[in-house]
Amino acid sequence: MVAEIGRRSGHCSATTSVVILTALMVCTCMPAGCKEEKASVVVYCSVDEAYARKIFAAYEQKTGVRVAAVYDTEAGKTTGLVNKIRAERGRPRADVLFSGEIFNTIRLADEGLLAVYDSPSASDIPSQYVDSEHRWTGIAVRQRVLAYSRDRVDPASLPKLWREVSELTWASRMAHANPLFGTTRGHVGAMVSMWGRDGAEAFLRGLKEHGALMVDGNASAVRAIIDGRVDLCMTDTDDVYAARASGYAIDMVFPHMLTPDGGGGETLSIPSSVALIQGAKHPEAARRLVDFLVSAEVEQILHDTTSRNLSVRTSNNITPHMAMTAPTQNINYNDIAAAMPIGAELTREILIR
Amino acid sequence: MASWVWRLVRWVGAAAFVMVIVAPVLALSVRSAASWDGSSAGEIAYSGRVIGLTLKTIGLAAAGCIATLVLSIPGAIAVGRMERDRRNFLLPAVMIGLLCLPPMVLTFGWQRVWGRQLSGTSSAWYWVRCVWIWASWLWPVAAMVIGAGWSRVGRSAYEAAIMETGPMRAFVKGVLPVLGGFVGSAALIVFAVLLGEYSVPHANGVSVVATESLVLADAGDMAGIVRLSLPVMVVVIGALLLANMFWRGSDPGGSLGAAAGGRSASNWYAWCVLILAAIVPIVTLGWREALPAAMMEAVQTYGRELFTAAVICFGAGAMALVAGMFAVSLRRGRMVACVLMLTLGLAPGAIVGEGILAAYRPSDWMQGWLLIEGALGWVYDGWAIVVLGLAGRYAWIGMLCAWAAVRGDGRMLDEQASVDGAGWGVQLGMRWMRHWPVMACGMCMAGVLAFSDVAVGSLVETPSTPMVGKILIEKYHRFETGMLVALSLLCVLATVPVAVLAGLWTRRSVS
Repeated sequence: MVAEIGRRSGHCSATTSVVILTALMVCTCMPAGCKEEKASVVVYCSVDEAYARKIFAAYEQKTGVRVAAVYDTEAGKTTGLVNKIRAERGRPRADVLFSGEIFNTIRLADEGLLAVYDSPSASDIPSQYVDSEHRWTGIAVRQRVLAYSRDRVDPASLPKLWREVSELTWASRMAHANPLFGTTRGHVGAMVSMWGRDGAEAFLRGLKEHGALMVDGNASAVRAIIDGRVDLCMTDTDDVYAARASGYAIDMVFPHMLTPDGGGGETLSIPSSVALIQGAKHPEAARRLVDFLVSAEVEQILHDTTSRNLSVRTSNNITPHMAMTAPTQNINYNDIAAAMPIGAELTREILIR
Repeated sequence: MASWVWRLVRWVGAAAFVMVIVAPVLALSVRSAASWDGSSAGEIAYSGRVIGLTLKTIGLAAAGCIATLVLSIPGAIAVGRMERDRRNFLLPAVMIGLLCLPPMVLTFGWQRVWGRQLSGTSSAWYWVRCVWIWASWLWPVAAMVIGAGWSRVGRSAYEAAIMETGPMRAFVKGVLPVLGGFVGSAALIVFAVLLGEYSVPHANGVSVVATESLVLADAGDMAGIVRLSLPVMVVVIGALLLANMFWRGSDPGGSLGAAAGGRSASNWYAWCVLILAAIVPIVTLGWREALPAAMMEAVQTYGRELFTAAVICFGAGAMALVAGMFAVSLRRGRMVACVLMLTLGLAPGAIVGEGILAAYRPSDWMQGWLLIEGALGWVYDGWAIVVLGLAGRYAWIGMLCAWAAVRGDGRMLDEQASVDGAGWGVQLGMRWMRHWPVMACGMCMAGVLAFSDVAVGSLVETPSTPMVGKILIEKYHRFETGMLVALSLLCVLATVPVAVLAGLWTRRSVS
């Protein structure tokens, strides 16, 4: 009987297939593993994949050096990669951090996880966007905006100040990303920094009590407008431009971050940031890549995509695509980064638990 | 087959089982215990929001389960009446192909079908969307399980009952009681899968435990993940144990392949469901798109990534299969191994990803232990950790296939083989050889699901192994419709080998 089964099953082919199956686990993946060795520089990147890919392709074409990138998800924007860098402390896998925001980069620098490098390509960048100890460099600004449906909202009626956004009239019709992640995390940090803990707490409580919709990421917030779930959302300029480029009737306004005493100025401008990881395995290649990433060429590439980032360079002749205002000069990013843990604590207390 | 081959398979399977199931579970337990302090105890307290999220997750999964069962009725009838010839291999093949389709593809397809007209402000509408997309994806599971039941016990019960009463009463009184176990098993399997599903709620802007736990994993909030996932994990384990009880109580012995027997009958209604549930959204995906150009651009831009991901995922599928074979081959502790495997596979993906990272990320204490540090460094930095993560996530499919093949021949073969002097290992080997299309199908299915995985993949991803599922989601978020459609259709093409193998399996079973 057993012999019969064996005969019917095809003795040789089955033996071969089992051996192949076993070998598959080890051998078939080898080509991918070999590629790892050839990678000259490893980047952790929270700039959106579609835009960063163009930049890395330009670098590879120019230098022949392969860039291996790990991107993050929209939901866990930047925070996931930053926590990965923390977890890999002492034995980093990444050489360079190319972040879509700046606040978490500052925190990594304060934790001693970033290396000092004064890139010659950053010499024309205003000091506001360069760390005094040269552990990070800011480029290509986006801005925090209030996006709205052109079909359902009269722009003239929209709030002029961010503080008003948490009022019932607006919060009940609004979506926002989880403030533990991405630029929304920085935005809440800026509220703590500029308005004080009480001001930020009142804002978050307003969102909660008035039923603002919390979603996974800024792009999801814009998607909520498109789907008709809400009429407006807190987001970044690039998400609005991307939706507009696909033909959706979305527009935006730039509420001010004015403090109770009238200071604070315009909306929050958030640069992307570039940094060298402390203890990087490929330091020389990483420095060359940092030189490229902080260059005016990369700012131009980012501006030419649907992201439409603004240059931080005063010498750069990039014309704002829409009504974007020039980046505010009086924002202290270090103060905002220092205030972020309080913002995260408030978020957990009010919105998450 | 030479016995050394089975010994080799068993050793490899044992290694795979330890690496993808035991190690992450242990590491996760140790890490949770190590980080447990007073503040964690405070964190673990269940707030109204967490309880609400858990209830919403369970409610949505239950609704998805009911919708899936309803949608599966024509398919179940078709499977139950499948002809004893080789012509009907196409339907089960396409059904299994549909199961391997990333749910994201169906999500995007349905969103295009519904358009902007079918949008709304009510959250309930987005819950309904999730339920419908889940049902249109998973109905083949229920159809195959219930169809198998009808084929084996339902028809004969009906025929016996119809001799004494009318058709309706015969169905209610005669069939439902004996078919209940199969319906219950199907329901609980679908329910358990839906509890941990990530991409459909995420793409529809609905927060559930699976989406929230990935966010918490990104935030490094271990206590939060435990707090969120624990109730759902308990429900998953309970559902699986119940499913097993139902199945054991109603299955007289035999695999799903045995369902492929019965009288000739038309199965056009099953094809109608297939067209409604899958073909419509897939065709709509490509509607009014410049497909050749978009596909070409997708291959040019992501060709290398797609190839690498395919190889990695195929490796993960193979590893999932041998780990599953090992678990099924255990004479002692088989139930524990299988439940562990199922739990890890059906829990929120963030748990599996965190477990794998906890097990293989080099730590400070390893400094000086060059061999351990070097080996773990090699695993952590390269493709190996991705293979391990995905194999851990989908090992339950390998296990189910190995189990289905083992049960396929009934007790008579066991007894005959024992009389012939064959050991347990050789008996199992013979069965797996006989059912090689089932095994190959399982490997491919695990590989294809790994190909579109988001939750585990995004946590264990390395620079050389970009995850296709994540790219799909990001294209969706960036409104890159053309690229999204092209990548989705490439995923559809990737299910073809699975469908072919499923067809081979069916032809073999009915011939």
